Amino acid sequence: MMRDAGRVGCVFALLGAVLVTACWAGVEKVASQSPSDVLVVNGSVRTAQGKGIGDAQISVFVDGKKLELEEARSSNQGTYQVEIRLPQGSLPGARVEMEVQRPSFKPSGAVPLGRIFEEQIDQAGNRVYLAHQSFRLERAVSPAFWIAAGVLLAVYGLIALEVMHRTLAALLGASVLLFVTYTAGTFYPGYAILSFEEAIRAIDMNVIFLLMAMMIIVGVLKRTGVFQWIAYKSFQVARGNVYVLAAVLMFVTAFTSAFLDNVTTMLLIIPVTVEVCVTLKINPVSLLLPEAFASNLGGTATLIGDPPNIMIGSYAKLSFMDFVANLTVICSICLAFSILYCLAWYRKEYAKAQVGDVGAMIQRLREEYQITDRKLLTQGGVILGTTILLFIIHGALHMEPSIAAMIGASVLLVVSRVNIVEMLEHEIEWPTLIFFMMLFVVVAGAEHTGLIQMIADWVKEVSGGSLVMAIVMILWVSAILSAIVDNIPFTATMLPIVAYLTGVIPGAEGGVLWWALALGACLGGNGTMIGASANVVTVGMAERAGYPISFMEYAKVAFLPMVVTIVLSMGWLLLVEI
Amino acid sequence: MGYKKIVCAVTGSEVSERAAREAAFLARESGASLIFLYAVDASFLQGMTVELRPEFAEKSLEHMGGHILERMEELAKKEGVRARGVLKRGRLMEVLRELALEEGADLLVLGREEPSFFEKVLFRDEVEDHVKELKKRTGVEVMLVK
Repeated sequence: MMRDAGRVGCVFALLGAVLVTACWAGVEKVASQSPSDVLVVNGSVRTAQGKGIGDAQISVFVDGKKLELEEARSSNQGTYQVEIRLPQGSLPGARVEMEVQRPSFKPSGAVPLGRIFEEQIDQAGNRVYLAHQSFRLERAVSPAFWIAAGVLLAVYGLIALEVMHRTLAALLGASVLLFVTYTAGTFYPGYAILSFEEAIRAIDMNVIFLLMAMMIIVGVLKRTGVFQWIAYKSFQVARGNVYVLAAVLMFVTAFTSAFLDNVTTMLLIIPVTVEVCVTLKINPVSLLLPEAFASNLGGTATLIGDPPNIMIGSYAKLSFMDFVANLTVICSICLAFSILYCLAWYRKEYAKAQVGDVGAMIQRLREEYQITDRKLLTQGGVILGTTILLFIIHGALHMEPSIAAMIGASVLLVVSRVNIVEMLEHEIEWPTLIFFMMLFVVVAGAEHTGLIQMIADWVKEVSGGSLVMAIVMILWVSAILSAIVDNIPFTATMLPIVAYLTGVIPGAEGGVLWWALALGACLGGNGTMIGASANVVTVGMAERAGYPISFMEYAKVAFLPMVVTIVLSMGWLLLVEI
Repeated sequence: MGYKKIVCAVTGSEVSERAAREAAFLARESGASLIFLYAVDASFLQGMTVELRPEFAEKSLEHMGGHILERMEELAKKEGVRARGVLKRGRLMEVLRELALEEGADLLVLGREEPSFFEKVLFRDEVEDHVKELKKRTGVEVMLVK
C-alpha cells in the first residue's frame, strides 16, 4: 500500500515538473517574440468556370524563398486565408509570391501579390498587412483523369451488362478510386483522384435518408393490404366496364406512384389485375402495361416519386412544391394522353371482355382484398398525410425533405409498434442505399478529375449557349439513354453537368434544365421494358403469370407514347417554363 | 400409360392450360394422382437498381400462383380428376426436379410455347436441353405439350 502511494506521488511530481517546464518554455517563447510584420492574405481558388476548388495547397514565397506554412489549404468552397509572419520592416518592400497546386489542375505558378495594405498595429506591436489574391486553375489531363474516366465507364458497363450486382460494381469502382489515391497518389500527385474526405462529402445523405425513410413508410403501409384494396375498389368503380377500369387503374397507379415507390405499387397491384383480367377473359398485359406506364408518369410528378427526382431535388435544392409547380401539370397532361392512347391501342382486347356476374365478382374481390389492419392503416395514413404536408412546407422551413420523411417514418414506427429490427432487416433495401452511396463517390471521382466538366463544356459548345438547344438536348438525350440504360447512374452523372449549364447558359437560372433532366430521365424509362424498374417488375410478373412480353412487343406498345410524352414535355418546357 | 403420379408444372398461359388438360386426361386414363406445380421464381428482380427483397416479390407471386393453381384444379375437376396444387419457391426446373423426386412422380408434364420464326433462327433451343437434363437427373419421363 505504502509502495503504491509512493509510486503515485512520483508520477504526480514528474507530471508537475513537465508542466512547469512547458509553461516556462512557452513564456520564454512569447517573451522572445519581438513585434513583426504580419501579412494576412485571403482569396479564392476557382476553376476556369468559377467553381470553388477545395483542398488546394497554397505556398508562399518571399523574395524567392518558400515559407514553411502549416497546412495552408483552400476550404470546400474554394476560399482560403493564410497568415505569415515576417521580420519587422520586411513589408511592404518584400517581393511576396503565391502558388496554388491541386491534383488534376495545372499549378498556378508563382503569382506576385498585388497591392498590400497596411491595416493596423495590434496590441503586441505587430504591424498587420492585408492582401487579396484569387486564382483560376486550368484543368490538367492527368493519369487520375483517365483512371476516374475508366472507372466510371467500367461501372456503367458492369451495370449495363449485368456482369455483377450493380451495388458490387459501384462499390468496386469507389474502392479503386480511393485505393489509387492513397497508393500511387501518395507518391505521384497526378494519380490523386479523390481523398477519403471528399468521397464522404460526395455522398448525398439527404437522398439516402429520404429513400430509407420512405422505404419504412411503404414497408408499414403495405402490411395493411391497402394497395390491393385500391385495385379492388377500382374494379368496383368500373362495375365491369373494362375501359373505365383501365382508366381508373392507370390514374390510381399514377397517383400512388407519385408518393410511394413505383415497384412496390406495381408488385402489389399486379396480382389483383391479373385475377380481374382472367375473370374478364382478357389478356392481363392489356392492363399491366398501361399500369406500368402510368406508374412511371406518376413517379415523375413529385420530388419523392422517382429516385432521379430525389437526386435532382437534393442536388439542386429544389423543394417538393417546386416539383409540383413545374412537373405535376405536364405529367397530368401526359397521363391523360396515355390513358387515351392505351384505350385506343387495346380497344380490340377490351372488346373481348366477357363481363359475367359483376356483383359476384365484386363480392369475391371484396372478400379477398380486405384491409388487413385498419388501425395500422389509419395510423399510416395520418402519418403519411402529415409527412406529405411537411414535404409541402419543407422549403419554407429550410428543412431538407429527408427530415420530413425521417420524422414520419420514426413516428410511424413508434405509433404502430412495428418491430424496428424486423423493419430494418426486411423493409430497407440496404443494397440500394449502398449502391447510391458508392455511385456518388464514383461520379465525384469523374467530377474532381475534370471529366464531368469536359462533358459539360462539350454540351455548352454544342448547344451554342442557347437555352432552347440545351433544353432539347438534355431532354432527348436523357430520354433516349434512360430507355436503354439505368437512369440512376445517368442522372448522378448529369447532376454536375446540369448545375454548370444552369449557371452559364443565359435564362437557365430559373432551373428549367433541371426539369428537362427530370422529365427526360423519368419518362424515357417508359420506352422499353428495361427502361424502368416498374417495367422490369411488370414484365417479370406477367411472365410468371403465363403472359410473357418480349422486348419488341413492349417497345411496340410503349415507345411511341413515350416519344409523344417527351414531345409534350418539350412543348411544356419551351412554352411554359421559359 | 400406366402412370401412378403425374406432376404438371403450370403458369397461367394458354399452353399451360393445354398441358394441365393433357395431364388431367392422362391421370384419369391411368388412375394416377395429379399434382400441379407453380414455381415461385422472383429471379427477374436480380440486378434491378431499386431492389426488392425476393421474399416480398415471392409473396406477391405466391398470391398469384395460388389463383393459377385454383384454376388448374378446377380445370382438372372438370376432367373428372382431383388434383393437388403445390407452390414451391425457386427456378422452375429446380423445383420441378425436387418435387418429382419428393413425390416419386413417374411423369412430368410441361407446356411449351412454340418459338417464333426469329427465336428459332436467332436462339438455341434451350427447352430441349432443360428437358434432357431433367430426365437425366430424375430418371422420370417428361412430356412437352405445345
